[in-house]
Amino acid sequence: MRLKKRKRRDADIDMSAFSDLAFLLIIFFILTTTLEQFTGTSAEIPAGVENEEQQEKKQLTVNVAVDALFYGEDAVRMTMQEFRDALLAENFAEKEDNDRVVLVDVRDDVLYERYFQVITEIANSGGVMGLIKRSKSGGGS
Amino acid sequence: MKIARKRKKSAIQVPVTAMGDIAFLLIIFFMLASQFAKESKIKIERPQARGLSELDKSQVWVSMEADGGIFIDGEEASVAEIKARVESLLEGHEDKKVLVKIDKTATKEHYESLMIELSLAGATLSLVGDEQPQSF
Repeated sequence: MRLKKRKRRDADIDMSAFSDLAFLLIIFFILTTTLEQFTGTSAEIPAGVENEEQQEKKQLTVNVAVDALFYGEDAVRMTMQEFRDALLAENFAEKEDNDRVVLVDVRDDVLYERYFQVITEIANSGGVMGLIKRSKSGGGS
Repeated sequence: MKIARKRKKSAIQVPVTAMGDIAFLLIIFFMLASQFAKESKIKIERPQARGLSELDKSQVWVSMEADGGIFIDGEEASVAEIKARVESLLEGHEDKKVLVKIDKTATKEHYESLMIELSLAGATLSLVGDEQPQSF
């Protein structure tokens, strides 16, 4: 008995939908991608903060507590808005680098958010923040 | 006299197989070229303040979680390591900007030591925060 040979067909796979799919994927990924742009404050902290000589010179200091700020030589109690005005009154833009430093003295219970707000106010007024590093805790300015 | 002969309509087929290849090449290119968030596992609530500006790109990212855990470019680090590691990462770069993300509830003992170490490493800090809503 003779078996019939099957005719071979050309196997053509339709690829046109394939590219549609790929481009859909590309468009999906482009639309869902968010490029993160951070906002914040730039702060340049002068190096060599542990300088004894600077303590002789009266430097502007802000003492940060949870509910108030104490600013200037007389440690005047201020709100954030008053502090902002006081900084603007200093007119840092016209001063030399050394005179633009505002030392930030933070009390132990102050969380970062408040500290960040104080740094932002100093930076926005054109001042430069300085850190106070104590060898041991205790002793206010 | 008949001039215009009817042209035979031939089915024009544009080969589209290569288009799929191109599309997939593009996908692969973008996947390899994109930087995935280095710090997706680190949970930080950003602090809010008024008058913030857009920050430039930074070479190094330093993060601090609420409990004081420190990460440099997504890798955990201790306070003692910060200065040396940041210095080596900044080496050779003119731009000394370091992106600093600190949780808003971090305590003084943690964030202050981080700031001091970073300033000793000669970094310019870009502190990340969100703009505070105006009703204050």
